[in-house]
Amino acid sequence: NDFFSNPRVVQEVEKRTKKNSKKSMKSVSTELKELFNKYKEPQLDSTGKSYIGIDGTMRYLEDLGYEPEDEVVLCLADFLDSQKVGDFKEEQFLTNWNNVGCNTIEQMHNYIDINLRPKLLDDPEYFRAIYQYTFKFILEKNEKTLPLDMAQEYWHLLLPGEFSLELETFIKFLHDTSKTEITRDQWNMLLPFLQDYHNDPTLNGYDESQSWPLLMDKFYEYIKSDEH
Amino acid sequence: MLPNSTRGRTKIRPPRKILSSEVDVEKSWAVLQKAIEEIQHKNASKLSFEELYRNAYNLVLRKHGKLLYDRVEGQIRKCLSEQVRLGLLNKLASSGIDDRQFLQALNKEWEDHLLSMRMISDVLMYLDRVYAKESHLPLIYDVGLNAFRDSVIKYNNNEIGDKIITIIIDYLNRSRLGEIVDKFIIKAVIYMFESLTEVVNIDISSVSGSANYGENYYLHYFEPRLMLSSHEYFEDKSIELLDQRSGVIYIEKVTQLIQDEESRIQMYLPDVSAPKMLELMDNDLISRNLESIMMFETDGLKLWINDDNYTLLQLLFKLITRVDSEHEMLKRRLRSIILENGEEINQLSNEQLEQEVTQKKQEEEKKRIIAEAHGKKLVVRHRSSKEQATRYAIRWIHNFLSLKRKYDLVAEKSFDNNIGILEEIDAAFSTFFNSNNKSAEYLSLFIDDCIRRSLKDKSSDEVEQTLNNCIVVFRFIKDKDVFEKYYKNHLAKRLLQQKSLSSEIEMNMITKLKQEIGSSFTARLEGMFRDIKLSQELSSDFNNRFARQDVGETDAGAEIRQKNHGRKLELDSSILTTSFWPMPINKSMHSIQYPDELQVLKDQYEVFYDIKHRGRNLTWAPNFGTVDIRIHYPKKTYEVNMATLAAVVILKCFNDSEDLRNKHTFEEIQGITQIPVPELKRHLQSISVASRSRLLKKTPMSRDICAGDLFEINEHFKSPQTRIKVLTVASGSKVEDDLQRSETMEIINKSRIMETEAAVVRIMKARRELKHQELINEVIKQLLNRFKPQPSFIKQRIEDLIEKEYLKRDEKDRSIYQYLA
Repeated sequence: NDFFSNPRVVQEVEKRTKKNSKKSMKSVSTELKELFNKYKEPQLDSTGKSYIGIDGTMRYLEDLGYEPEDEVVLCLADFLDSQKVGDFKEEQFLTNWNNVGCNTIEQMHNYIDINLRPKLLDDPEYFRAIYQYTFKFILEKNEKTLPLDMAQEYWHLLLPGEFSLELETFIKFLHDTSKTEITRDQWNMLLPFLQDYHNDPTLNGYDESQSWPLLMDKFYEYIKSDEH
Repeated sequence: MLPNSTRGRTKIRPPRKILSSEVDVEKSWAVLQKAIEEIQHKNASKLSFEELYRNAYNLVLRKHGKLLYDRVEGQIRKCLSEQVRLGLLNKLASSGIDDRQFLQALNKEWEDHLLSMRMISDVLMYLDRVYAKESHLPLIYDVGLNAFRDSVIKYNNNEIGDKIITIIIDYLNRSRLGEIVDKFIIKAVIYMFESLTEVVNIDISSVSGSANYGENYYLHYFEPRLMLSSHEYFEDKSIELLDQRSGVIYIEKVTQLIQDEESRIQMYLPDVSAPKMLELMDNDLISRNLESIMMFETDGLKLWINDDNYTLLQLLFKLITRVDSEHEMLKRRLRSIILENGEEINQLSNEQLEQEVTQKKQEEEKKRIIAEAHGKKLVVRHRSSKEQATRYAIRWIHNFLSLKRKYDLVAEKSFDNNIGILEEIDAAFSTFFNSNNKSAEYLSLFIDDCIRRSLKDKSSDEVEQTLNNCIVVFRFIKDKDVFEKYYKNHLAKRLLQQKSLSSEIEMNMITKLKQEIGSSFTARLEGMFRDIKLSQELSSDFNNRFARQDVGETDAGAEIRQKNHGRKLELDSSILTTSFWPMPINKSMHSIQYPDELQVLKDQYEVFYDIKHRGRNLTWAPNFGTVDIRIHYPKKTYEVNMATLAAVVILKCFNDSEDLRNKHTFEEIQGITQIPVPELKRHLQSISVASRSRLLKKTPMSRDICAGDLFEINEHFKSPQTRIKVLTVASGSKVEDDLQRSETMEIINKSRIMETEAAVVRIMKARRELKHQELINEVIKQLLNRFKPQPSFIKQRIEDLIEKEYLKRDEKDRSIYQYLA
């Protein structure tokens, strides 16, 4: 959009980033580049960039030793600034791994296991960031909302086991009220909501005049109107 | 205080031991005792004050103060108990003495006793000053009063006191029955009671032996009995009044009773009792009963309001004001009565309507009979159910206004225009007004009726009054946007059909609305009005100047003119700004094939308009206009006014002078004219089925227009008038049916979504960051003049705006929204 309203600025910004990336590219080891090349798609993507696609990602994960449904994969995706499933861009791959000094599969594996995985468990802010990032990451192109089954899958994957009871009640409610799509706001708010709900299982302290999304208000009414 | 100087003075005091040995206690006391007896027997004149004083002085000086004090008290008590008390008891026992005489005797004893006590205490001044003071004992005078209390009044279990209290209360009760009683004696006795202090503390000799100030026999013994007996009296009275089952009687009697009682209290009772008595009375007579009295079916608040019984209502108001400055019980009752009245309005409007219909029917029936007698046939026109519903709407608003007026008068004349009550009345009216989901439409119809016909020939004052009344009702509308929607529709019809009595009235109404709620509400209404004004100027310009001067007259135009016997065609146009008017542009009208006559006019106008306003886009809406045509039938020529679309049919398909017997099927007509099918059916119906305007003959002659029907000029067309108006279905403003209403509400709801989102964005743009609750409140405030959105409605809009990335939640605090530029 900016391109149309202000093409020069955008072009300059692009130039700059290219320069920057070139600079950092210089220090990237050949080892890391070869590693990328091992997984990359033969073709460039629609914007003319080299990237690792679905197949490459599967192989990469296998080599790293992770199942695709390991939640740490989401941390990896976040770490590599991936905008959608099965899409690691060359630039981010090289820069970001280079920044933390990882050049081999082993180093990467260690980095993930030592830095990312524990952080997901211990750092609520990081967890929240990963949780919110996930919505955008798994969203289909041009879609605004997430299909419920997809959302459900990732909730089960991501949300801590201590909320499982509350989560199941919530999911049952979604099915009972034939909800099929989840918006970003609903997704984001579910995490703090489940925390509150976990601490107040009767929801007696719930206040509909607060800023919870309407979906939560309806859930509250659902809980209050019936024994589920 | 000054211990040093006191000690110093003691030092220079003369020796006293000689005196102390000289005094003979018993002798001195004998003198004093004798004197006290004399005083008590009113023989004081012979006594020597100086001698008595000295005796007492000496006794006190020689430390016999206690002895003297005790003996004096004993002497006083003895006299009171043996003489005064017994004397009074004798009087009580004797039959020759009535209550009044007894009280007078008592009062006499009391006054004598006070006099004696004054003398005795003068004599014993030194005892008071030295002994009583040092020992913290009551002064001798007070000892005398206490002695009177204990030895006379309260002696033997309050024997005499009880009797006195009974007598006084009996007096008061007799006074309540209207008997005149001796107020002086009552006052005197009560004054005596008040003078007799009561010791709350049982230990008389304690430091606070002088008794708590204000605690006295009156408060302790008399007042409770007074309260009890008054309570009984009020209760009996209210039961007696309630038995009559008449609110009027109760309120009038109680008002009188309270007045009497107030003057009685003032006359007989001390100030301390007045507030207690008033409270008791108000509670017994007002608080406990008045609400149930207002609820009397046959003679209660509802009836009095109905009967405009201002005097009684004022009494009621005053009574309630006594017990509650907020008038809660009155407000409660008013509210429920107004809600009942609201129900009755629905009923009443129906009844009035039925009456009207019956009356109309009778009149029509009469007319028909007369017509038949003259050998004519008259078709009785029945009102459609929609028309009925519209009459009902107008009635309803009318009745609503009368009811409101009624309550305004009651509030003014009886309730002192009390703000709280006025608010309650308004709130109740608002509740029942808005409980009718058609009320906004009703008001618009009512105004429509006023401006179309009912204000005809009314004085400007009356017009003003009526329009002001409309604003009164308008204030009650919760969702003003609904009203706006209807008002626009009705105004559009009035303006386009030129049905307003005068544009002054129209403008006046709009101005009033503007004053009431602001120009944003009326901007589009004014725009519509302006459009019509400008259109009139444009039309006359077009017809007078442009067309006359043959500027832009095309060859085709000239040809038509010739065909039309040299007369020019005239065109009255209404140029409507799309965004002001409620009617959507009807795209299906674009393809209509106009007859040459109209096409030429249309082309000419477009040229004319383009000169006037270059670059503006004209979209024709033939579904709103009418055309006057002169039609030559074999027998007669008629001037017919009909809808433009009907004229298109006639001119396009049946104006071939070569072949008047031209026949067309429905499909052919549709093909030639390109008028959309539903519209075409409607208009064909009006010119081939409707009894008064059967310009065309339809085969078969059924009511409905069906595919394959044949149409031709009705050669046998006959009408008593030369000028005929073809009525197309529903020309007036009508109440909507349920389907239309739900469509209208859907449109309104859509615009509410837009308005709410716009408000949220506006607020957030200005504030950048806002708490959830504040945003909700602010939105409600901004939309106050439009409608009242539910918080959940606003919430949904906020979520949509988050989705559209106009807003986002704060990372840290989810109850804060941030505006995304």
